[in-house]
Amino acid sequence: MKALRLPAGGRIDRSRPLSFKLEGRELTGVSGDSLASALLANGIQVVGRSFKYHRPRGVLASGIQEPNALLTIGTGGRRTPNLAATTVELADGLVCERQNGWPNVDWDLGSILGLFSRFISAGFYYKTFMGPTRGAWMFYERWIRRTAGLGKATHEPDPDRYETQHHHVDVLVVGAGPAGMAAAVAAGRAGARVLLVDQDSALGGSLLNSAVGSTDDHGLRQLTAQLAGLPDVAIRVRTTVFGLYDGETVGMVERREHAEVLQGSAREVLHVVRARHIVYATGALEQPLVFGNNDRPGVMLAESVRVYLNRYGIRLGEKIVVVTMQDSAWRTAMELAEAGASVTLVDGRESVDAHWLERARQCNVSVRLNALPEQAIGSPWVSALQIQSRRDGQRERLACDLVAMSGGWMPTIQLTTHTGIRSVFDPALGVHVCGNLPANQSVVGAMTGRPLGSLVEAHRIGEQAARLCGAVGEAGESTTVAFHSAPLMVSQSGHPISTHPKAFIDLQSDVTVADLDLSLEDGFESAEHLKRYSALGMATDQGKSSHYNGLRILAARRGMALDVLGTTTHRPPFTPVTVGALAGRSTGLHFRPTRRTPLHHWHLQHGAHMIEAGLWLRPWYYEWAGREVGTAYIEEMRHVRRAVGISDVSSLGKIEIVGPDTGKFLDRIYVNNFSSLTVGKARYGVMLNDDGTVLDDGTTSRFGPHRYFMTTTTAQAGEVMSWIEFLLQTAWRDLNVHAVSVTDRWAGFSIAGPLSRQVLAKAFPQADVSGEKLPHMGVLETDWHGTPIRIARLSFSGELAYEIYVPADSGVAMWTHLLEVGAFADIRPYGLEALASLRIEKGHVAGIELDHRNTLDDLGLGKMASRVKPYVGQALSQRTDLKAADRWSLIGLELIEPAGKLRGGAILFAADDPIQGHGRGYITSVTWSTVHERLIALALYQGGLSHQGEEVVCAFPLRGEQVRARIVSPMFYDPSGERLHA
Amino acid sequence: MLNRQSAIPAPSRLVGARGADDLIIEEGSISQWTQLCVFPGSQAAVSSAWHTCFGYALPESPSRFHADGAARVYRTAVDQYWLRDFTAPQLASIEVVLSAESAALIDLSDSRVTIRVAGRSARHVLSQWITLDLHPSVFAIGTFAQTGIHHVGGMLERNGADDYSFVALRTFALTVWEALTDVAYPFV
Repeated sequence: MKALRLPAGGRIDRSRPLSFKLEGRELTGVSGDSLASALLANGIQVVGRSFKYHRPRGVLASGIQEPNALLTIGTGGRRTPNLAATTVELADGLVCERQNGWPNVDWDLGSILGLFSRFISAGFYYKTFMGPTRGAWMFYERWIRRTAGLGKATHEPDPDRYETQHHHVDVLVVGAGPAGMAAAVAAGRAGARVLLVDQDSALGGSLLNSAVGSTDDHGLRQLTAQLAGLPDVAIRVRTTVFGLYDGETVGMVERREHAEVLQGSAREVLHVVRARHIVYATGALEQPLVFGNNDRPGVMLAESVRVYLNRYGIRLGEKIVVVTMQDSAWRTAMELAEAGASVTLVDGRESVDAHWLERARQCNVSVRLNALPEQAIGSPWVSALQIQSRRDGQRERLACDLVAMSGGWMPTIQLTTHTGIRSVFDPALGVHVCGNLPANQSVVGAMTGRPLGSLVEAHRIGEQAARLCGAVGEAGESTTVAFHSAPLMVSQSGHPISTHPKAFIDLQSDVTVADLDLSLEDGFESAEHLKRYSALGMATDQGKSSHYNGLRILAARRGMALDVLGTTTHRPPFTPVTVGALAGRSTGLHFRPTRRTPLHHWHLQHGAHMIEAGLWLRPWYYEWAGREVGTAYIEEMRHVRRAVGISDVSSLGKIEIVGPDTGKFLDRIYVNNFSSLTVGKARYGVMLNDDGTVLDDGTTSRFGPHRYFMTTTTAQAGEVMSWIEFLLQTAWRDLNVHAVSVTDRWAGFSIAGPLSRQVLAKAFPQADVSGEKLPHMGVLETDWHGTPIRIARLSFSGELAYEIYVPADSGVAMWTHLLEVGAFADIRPYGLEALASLRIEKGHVAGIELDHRNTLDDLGLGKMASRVKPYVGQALSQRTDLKAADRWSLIGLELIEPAGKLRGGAILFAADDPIQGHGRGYITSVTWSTVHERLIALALYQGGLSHQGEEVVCAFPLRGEQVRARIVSPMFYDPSGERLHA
Repeated sequence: MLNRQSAIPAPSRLVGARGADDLIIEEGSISQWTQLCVFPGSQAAVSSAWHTCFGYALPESPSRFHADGAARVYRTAVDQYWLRDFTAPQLASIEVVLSAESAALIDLSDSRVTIRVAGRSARHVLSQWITLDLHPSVFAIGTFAQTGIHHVGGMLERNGADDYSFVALRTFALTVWEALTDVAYPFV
């Protein structure tokens, strides 16, 4: 193959040279080149090694269907493997390397695998490498994976930006070829909001394949000018539609130019488009012919050879054989001959239109009719094509340095099938075309499977789409430019199937005709089974150059018509999409939303180490107590037990419930009674799911006749709010009750410890917080210099404690006020670790025990359930299984072995149980007890406290640990409640 | 009154490289938010009381707010309205005419932060997170909608040709601010 950059012609700018590196080698291209065209212009013929057999491969195509020229582009964090060089625009400084060759692609030792190809044929991983032992495959697999495959991704962070953009349009036109442009012009003129997208870097589609100055080129300029004058037509090039989803939602990725990216632009943008009408103008893809060694470098698609000639100014050979069964390749042959190549044209048909023969004569193209390609000859690149006459069987060897083949065209219908609309087989065309699309989707151009002919139809459909969206403007006449005849779909049903052992159907997955036969022999007869067994069509190109031939040969082998055989299912993405594009800006700091309390910045400024709690960031521990959490939280616990601490509990769910029927409502959702709650009082409550398991616990305070204030756990706040709204909007619409989340309205603090009342008295001298006026579970509303405050005497820690709620914007001011007035008592902040540990000592259940699997009895709360009123979950809580005596229920554990450790998640076994399986329970929460000076835990255990006093083994298989512990009451601290009632 | 502190640390203002006409993202002034809750069967009574009190009807549309000087009314659900920047006397006057059996007012002040996004590029910036159609023919001035930015629910309103405000929950406000200023990167 002797590629030659012609001195003139093409859509490139020869005055702007671009340098790039291939495996360290400096090469030069020009502006407008694709990476593939630049490689070809530099004489690079072997662009990679094949997936399994490591056969040398050259460029096959010029667009997205390229199966061979997959390169790794970029370095460091920008390194991206498996990019089709035919879709990569050449950029100055681009660095690339070929894939799957060792020590390099030109001299690849892996090619020896070709000798063992019968061991790695279709489905080999189900059949070979299975012995001599059961684990043999695991041993072989490592080596097989190392030798097979594609490029390797980087482990470095990607330095580039990826963005997301949402759009709404009336008419989305996918594909900016002549038909798509014509449809967009009509829709835009009619007044619709139109978005025209194309994966190429320029408008034109197949028109770009024709020479500058040609009739096609003239038509392209005319359509481009028409579009430019339409203000409501947006155009996006370098944008590939990769998926169609429900509601005419379309996913597309825009690639930005390399130079733009270096200046800070996003590398890729994920566009999510919601269209009222979609016009598909995605054209058709040329298909290869299947013959022996059809994968040799130098065997290319005919239209692609034309693209390299007319778009990139490269004549890819001197002595060229064009082999085809349809008309479009004749055009390629003539243009190659006109560019100075010696061309022989082989056509499998007995006869062709006379005007082609006349043109061939004029261009000095030698013609062989009624002949078929048998095998390509030459290694590594092609030096001849052996053909065979269909009339007399005579073989002929045609010396050449390039084979340009065309096996017909397949409409690019993949997108139309993404939402489940099956394609249909058109016997006249011999290919699958779009199925029955909904009224708000249309197809124009070559994608219909018909010759493009005029653009009148595309124009009409564009106008019709606009009308369906309510546009009423004048669409005008369609363009009258007579385009070059467009490609035809041609059935190859009469084409004999090659018997050559290396006649490739799928070049990227290395699937041959022999592999297909083997799959059939093994019983994988349906198109879907064949695909899975042989990997045909499953590579990154998703079968764009293999799907059609695979189906055709399978149908022939089974003696079936293609419409009876059916086809496989196309799913998104149409072309590979980077993870970066899908992630967009949701990385790093923006990986997910973060919820911050009103005190957040105070915590950061005062030595708090933060921890994620769901979406919240909460203070974990403070440096005043230590530099490590393991010691700091214990110091914080001690301080609360002996003096007073203050903790930020703003994350608790807070729900304002108002209305005359609120008491009745609360009676229904809590297991215990609330209608008897008096103003100025709070009550602890538990609510169940409707299946009878515990949903959440919390307190509800009554601040007025019709006004209640519910708090929930941080973890279940959203769920409880949803549950309440669901019940009010569906089950109990008659209740005069409204519930509103006020979690964001109030900052909340817990002040706990024996000195907490003294701190409060000093902080709010106007309020009476004495034990008589504000007893345990008492609440009051007051204010501080005009700012409303709610105080509830509640305890999570077992100490005398209060919760204080203040409007969020005033949170920091109130917090600092409390710290200032509490200085006499040495008040100090304590974090989530200490907060949670104090509750473990007190035996309170929390989110980890409230996991929607436990009943009231499991958690020791059964006595709370009312026997006189119904409540949600009551009926199903009486199920036999939920009442079983051997359910896992709450216990306390004390560590017996001082040197051991209790760990959350440890599996519990009875002392004489074998240590295997799921055991009899598990540890839910662990802490160091400052009261007992040892590790204690809460756990769920079969039979619960009926085993009190017994020893258990706590096994932690992840660390290979086993320690002994004793079952005790879960209430480790102040079981009589003297301290919290103080 | 205690000092009030915003959820977004200063400076809560970002101006585009081509000036505020092109892009400005800033925290809006602190608003007083109140929710008017209408109990089942009381819509007519509440509407009548409202009209008597203020001289105009409660808005029926769930997507257009009613502005009355600095005060605004949004119908955020079939049976609930948000009252923005109503003065204490205004709230007291409506509370007087509403019976406890027909409706209730809940103070939501401090629970929301308003982030203003304005300028020629505002729509482009918002469209990176918001899935709504912001075309003027669809989302006109005076329109609002419940939507989301980076998974955080909130209310978007259009106050001018290129002037939008996103009303976010206070505890998520900094996340929303970070998300918006991040996607504004090409403009600053």
